[in-house]
Amino acid sequence: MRNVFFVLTRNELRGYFRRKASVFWALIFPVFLLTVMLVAFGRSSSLGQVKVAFTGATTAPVAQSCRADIEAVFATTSHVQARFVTEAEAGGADATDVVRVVFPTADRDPARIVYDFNGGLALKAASRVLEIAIVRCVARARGVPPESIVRFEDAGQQKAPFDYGNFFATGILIMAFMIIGMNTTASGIGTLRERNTFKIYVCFPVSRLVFITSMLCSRIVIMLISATTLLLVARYGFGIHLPLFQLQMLRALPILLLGGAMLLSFGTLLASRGKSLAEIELWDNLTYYPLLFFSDLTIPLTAIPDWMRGALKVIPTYQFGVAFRAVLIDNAGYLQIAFPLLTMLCWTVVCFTLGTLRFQWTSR
Amino acid sequence: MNALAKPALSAAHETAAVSADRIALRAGDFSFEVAEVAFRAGAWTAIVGPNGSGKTTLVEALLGFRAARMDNVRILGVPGARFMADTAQLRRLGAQLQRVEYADWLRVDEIVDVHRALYRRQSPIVAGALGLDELAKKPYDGLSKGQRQRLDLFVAMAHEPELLILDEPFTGLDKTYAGRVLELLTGALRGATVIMICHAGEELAAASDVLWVHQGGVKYQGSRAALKDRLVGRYRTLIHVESPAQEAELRGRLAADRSVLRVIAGREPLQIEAYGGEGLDAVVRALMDSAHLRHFELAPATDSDLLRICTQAGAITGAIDA
Repeated sequence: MRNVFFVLTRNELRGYFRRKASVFWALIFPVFLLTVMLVAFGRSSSLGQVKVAFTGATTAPVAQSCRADIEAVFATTSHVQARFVTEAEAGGADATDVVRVVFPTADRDPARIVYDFNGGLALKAASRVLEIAIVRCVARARGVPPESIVRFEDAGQQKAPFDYGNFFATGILIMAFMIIGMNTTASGIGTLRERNTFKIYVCFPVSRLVFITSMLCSRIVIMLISATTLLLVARYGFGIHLPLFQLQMLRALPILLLGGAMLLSFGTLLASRGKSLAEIELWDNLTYYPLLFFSDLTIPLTAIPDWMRGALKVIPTYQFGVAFRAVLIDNAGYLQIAFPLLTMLCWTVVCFTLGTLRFQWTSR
Repeated sequence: MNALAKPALSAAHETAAVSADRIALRAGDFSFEVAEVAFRAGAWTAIVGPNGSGKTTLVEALLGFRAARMDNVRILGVPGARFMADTAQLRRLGAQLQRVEYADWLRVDEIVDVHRALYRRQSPIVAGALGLDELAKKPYDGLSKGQRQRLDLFVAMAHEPELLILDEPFTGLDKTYAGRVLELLTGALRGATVIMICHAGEELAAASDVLWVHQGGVKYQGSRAALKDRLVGRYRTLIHVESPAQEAELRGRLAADRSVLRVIAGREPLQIEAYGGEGLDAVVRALMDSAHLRHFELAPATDSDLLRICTQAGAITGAIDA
């Protein structure tokens, strides 16, 4: 039986790598998508860079002091960057990527922050940073220590700063697992059923579970190859800080395996009864795309409504992402991710049980 | 079920390799029902019948591929469902089914590897007869229809099973390989029970038994020779007529003669085919004079003739009820 399992798994693996489309989706597409996302969104969580120009009474003592404060604030602010330019470098009055700080000539006049109110997020964020810095600076100049009015405290000291590189690398890895575990498994089973291959398998002297298990195990191997490729490219190709050779990676491995098993069970369930490949692909697409878009994998769900946020808790791929990122990126312990792990385990057991019980070998 | 076939069938049921007391299934507007079916152990049974009559349905129902109501199905002495679920029992079975395809990306030698791992033995005689070596490195999607058929037959026969189920085994094979398969079945695999859906006279000629499926049921089950005697006798004549009126007249006269077993339309317009025993020659010669026949052919009836009768829907009622 072991020999049969080995031969079937080997054949499945060979076949997978002989199909150019499979290789593309498992190995090339994740790297390609990572490249595109990093080009589009950058590495860090920064909204981007804006030009900041100082005008008006720039030589006044308050202006000098405020300018120093502003430069210090931007040096430690990660969500938006500033490039300090002269008025000449800022461009004309109609330049839309610049924020101008106009210092007043009279002490009691307000400083003005001039920018395009319909400009981009970076422009709006920079103007707010400038506003806070100037208020604090003026308060200090008027004898009120700003720290006595308000101060910022970091509530997330355990977590690493948000990094788009990490976000995309881990999210795309899970997406690749979805392609391998759901799409190719469902279509693979559908093809075998449509071509009546299962009919002859049923006549073979081997447990039917061996066929399914060999198909699933070969895909686990492919998932691991896909994950290794993507993470190595992310780490050494794009310089994304991923702890590949640290304990965190080792602790993240069981989560990857559980997630892989969960997605394979999902694929098996989707294909368990479909009479044709077209029917199975329809069910697969109806499942795959909502999971992809609502799992915080490649599209950050920052603006999701509260009522929807509760629903995310039962989405298997969302919890896969939460658990994997928590362990790999934030170095969390398994206890801290008990709920996501339990959710994934439940989905795996339910899908595998239903998938195997409902599994139809022939189109009866 | 044909009354003539029933006593023999009941006797065969005791020693049958595959049997069922009842099979009933419905799929859309097609239904299939048979009260009793048995395939003799060690015999070669050809399943014949028109397209869409239920031949493949019968075989697939016995193997459990179709949702059907079945009573007391037994395969090689074991209840059917248990046989199909028991890997030790399944080693005794070899099956070649129609419209079954392996994954395109597999190579032939990889499928052969699976077979070797499954059965732990492969007959070099079967491999040699089917020319497997020359196919070994070919991708499955690069095989012709005949090459795929050779591979399917290898998978079915290479472990020398006790029970062989073959669905049109000669389809796509050239004469050389068809001959080799026949040699295998009568040589290296002699003694195996063969259940074969057939559509060619050569296939039928090699069978000892026939199961005739028609209109969703079994019309006859028993000896091929007996059925041949009953349906086509020893001789066949092909008569060319000159007008529809002459055709009608001659058909009436032939049908009335006791030595004529069957009269059917020929393959071409204005042709009549008649089958009968020793007296057929004399009948036709008499018609030459009385009906002014100009052209007729007389030859021994063959298994192809028998198959043709069995697969012609219009001839069937007359054939059995006669």
